[in-house]
Amino acid sequence: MENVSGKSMEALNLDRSVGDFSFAEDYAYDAGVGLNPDVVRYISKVKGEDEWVLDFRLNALKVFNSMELPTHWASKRLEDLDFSKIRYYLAKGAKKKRSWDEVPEDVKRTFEKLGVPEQERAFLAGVEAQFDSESAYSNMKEYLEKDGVIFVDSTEGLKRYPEIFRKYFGRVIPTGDNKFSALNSAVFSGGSFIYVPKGVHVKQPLQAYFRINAESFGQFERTLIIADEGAELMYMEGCTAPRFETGTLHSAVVELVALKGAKIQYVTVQNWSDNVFNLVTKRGVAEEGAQIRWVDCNIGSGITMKYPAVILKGAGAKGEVISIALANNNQHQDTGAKMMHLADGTTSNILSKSVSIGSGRASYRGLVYMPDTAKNCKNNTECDALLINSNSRTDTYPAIVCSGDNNSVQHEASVSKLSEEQIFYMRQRGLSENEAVSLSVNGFVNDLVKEFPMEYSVELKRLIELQMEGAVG
Amino acid sequence: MKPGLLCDISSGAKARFADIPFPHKKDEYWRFADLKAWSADALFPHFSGAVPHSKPCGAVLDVERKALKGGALALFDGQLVSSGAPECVEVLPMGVAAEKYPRCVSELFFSAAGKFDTLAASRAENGAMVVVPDGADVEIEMAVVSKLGLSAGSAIFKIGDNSRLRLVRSFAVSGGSFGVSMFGFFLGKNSSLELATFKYSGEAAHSYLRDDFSLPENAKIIDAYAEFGLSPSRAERNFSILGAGVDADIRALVKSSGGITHDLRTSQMHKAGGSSSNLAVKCVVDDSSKAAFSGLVRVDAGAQKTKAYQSCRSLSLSDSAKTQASPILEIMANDVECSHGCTVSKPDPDEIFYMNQRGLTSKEALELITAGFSRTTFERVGIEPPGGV
Repeated sequence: MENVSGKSMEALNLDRSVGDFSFAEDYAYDAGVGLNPDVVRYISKVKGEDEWVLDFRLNALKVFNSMELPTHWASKRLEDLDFSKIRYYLAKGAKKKRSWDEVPEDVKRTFEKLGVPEQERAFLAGVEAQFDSESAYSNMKEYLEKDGVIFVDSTEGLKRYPEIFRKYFGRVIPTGDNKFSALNSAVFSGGSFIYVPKGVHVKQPLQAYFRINAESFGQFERTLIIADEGAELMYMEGCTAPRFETGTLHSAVVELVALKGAKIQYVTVQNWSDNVFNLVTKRGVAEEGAQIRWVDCNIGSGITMKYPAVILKGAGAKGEVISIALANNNQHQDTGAKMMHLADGTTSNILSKSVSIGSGRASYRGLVYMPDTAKNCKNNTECDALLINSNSRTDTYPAIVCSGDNNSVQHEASVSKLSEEQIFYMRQRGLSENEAVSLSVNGFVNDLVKEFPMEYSVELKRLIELQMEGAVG
Repeated sequence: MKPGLLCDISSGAKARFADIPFPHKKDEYWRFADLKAWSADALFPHFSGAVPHSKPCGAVLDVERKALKGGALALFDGQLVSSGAPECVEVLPMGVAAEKYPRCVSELFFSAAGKFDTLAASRAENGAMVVVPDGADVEIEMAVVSKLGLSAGSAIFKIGDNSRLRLVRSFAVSGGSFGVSMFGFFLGKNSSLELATFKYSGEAAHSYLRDDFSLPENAKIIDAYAEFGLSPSRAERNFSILGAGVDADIRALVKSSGGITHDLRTSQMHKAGGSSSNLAVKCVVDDSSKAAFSGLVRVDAGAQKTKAYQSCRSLSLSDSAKTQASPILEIMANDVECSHGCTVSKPDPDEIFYMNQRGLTSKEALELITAGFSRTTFERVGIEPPGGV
């Protein structure tokens, strides 16, 4: 069997055993389809977990079974999910290797246009379980260890550092927060556990991408990041290239803890294939003077429901959500933000931009909460939507609960279409209609794209161009 | 009741009423509402007539007097006690209206789907219909008084093509009463409606109002709605835009005090393009009271060239005052201009300081700020807001 780079799979398999951060590849664990206590026990056993983790999982399963789908406000499409047909755990070794020929043409074309390196393409398309970037990771690991930063996967984190992670694990997002956080708590695998010690500023962004763990892109990742007092870090997950997945449900839980004066920036770029339900719970707790910033970009998936939240628990804490969503034909990007101002002088900022193309639907759903026990809190929310075609749809569902002394909230939303004058101007100067439209769309999201790290923003721009293809005319 | 349309409406609604649950947590349309105030426990005493009448408040009494004096159009516990209106206007008890204008009557009452509009429909016979002929230009004053434990009084206004109606409505719900009303406004083409509404209620009362506006092409509406009640209220106001050239200027002022929640829901449904609607809600919230607002702007597919705006501004006069707002946009057409804005804040201390410097006490300064804040609601209907607001 040959992959895209022309090397045989065997050769790459040999490569994989090199380097210090790859997992053994020779096991083959498959928990089968459907969900029951045995599946959960199986996952826990395979991972060699402690008793308390297993209890945590089993309890979560009970909670999951007892909860109903949130269909009274959410998309009815959730009802299409058949939990009995989902494969909840499939360790890499048992993952069927896909041949390059099985990868759909459009995915290949996208890689081409995005300029994804060839080996990465194989990895992203699921043809290859990982790609060769160990050296990059090794360098980073050395530098992190020097500062005492822990950057491991969830299984390892719970096993090796229970004294650090157990304290916060499942505390920011309790098991019963919602049906999907309960599901994740029962069957989680993969994801990152990060601890940054007091006062350490991690200068380079930590990327799940480079942790070369196929599971880090898994269906039920669990991420927990703790920034100790005064620590700073930036974490990036996902990538702009489309993720070709056969699994239909992606349900991650991400918990952030920013202790006094700490800063966490969490960047996500999501581009799942459009058969995926992307139902993610993300929440951070910011203690006194801490800052949490979610930078979120949703391009793929059939339906995404994701509302990153910040609980502003300590005085002067700051929360921010920056979100870009692109909804193309048949996609529903239901994204938003939640800001809970529980302490005095906390501030939050939500900036959301969405683009709906064809029959795509982009929704903003948010909550800003200021109880009367907090004072001098401020929130600013701005939602802008751009509708490309006459059948595109956008919604805004903000909720504001405000009381207390000198608390103020402001929310603004606007909807616009492409400016015909702009398009005309660009066409006069020789751009095709598609080029003009994608330039205009890029201009619309530009101020937010700038918030992404350099390499992401370049790819994002190209991706937007790709999404716009055939949208007009 | 005589068999016929009204009987069908009312018996159908009675049958459905039992099946519709009381507002509950999972009911998105009741999100943020004070569910306790609208629970069976809170309302049952009204049904059984067990709530004692509290001391009547001045504003409620004024409306009652107006209703009894004659000259105005008055519904007293749903009974048409006075049909004061210009000569060209037809005023009919609902029973007669159902025979003469069955389309309007069924359209309004059969649309009842919630718990309390269904309750109003179950007593559809309690009410009146007003028909303004084509090409008329009339002014009507109306008083709706609720005194019984459960008091239903609904009305339908049918406004002819090219007509203008100016209507000043006052609602008074006496302490101890649960007032339920459903109003339907059917405008004709090129017609215009100027509507000022003042709602008052005594203590230990409940009031529910649903207003439906049907706006065909070139219909204009200038609306000012004020809620000053002392007990929990809920208003559902639906603007249905059916043709091009509609211009709807909708303004509301909600004043909550005494630890209660005033709940306002609006919808601006743009079913046809080329029209505009603008909603401006202002809330003044004092002590531990709440203002709950939820507004929906929906632009249907194909309703291009729509302009729809929505704003909610809330002034908190105390630390425990609470505003809950949910301005919603659902847009399915791309060539539109839509926006919404929402702010919650307390009076600007700099402004109070400025007025203090010029000799006003802080209380006076606050009153002045509140009056200035409220004024814009009534600007276009040309009515000074009543004193003390």
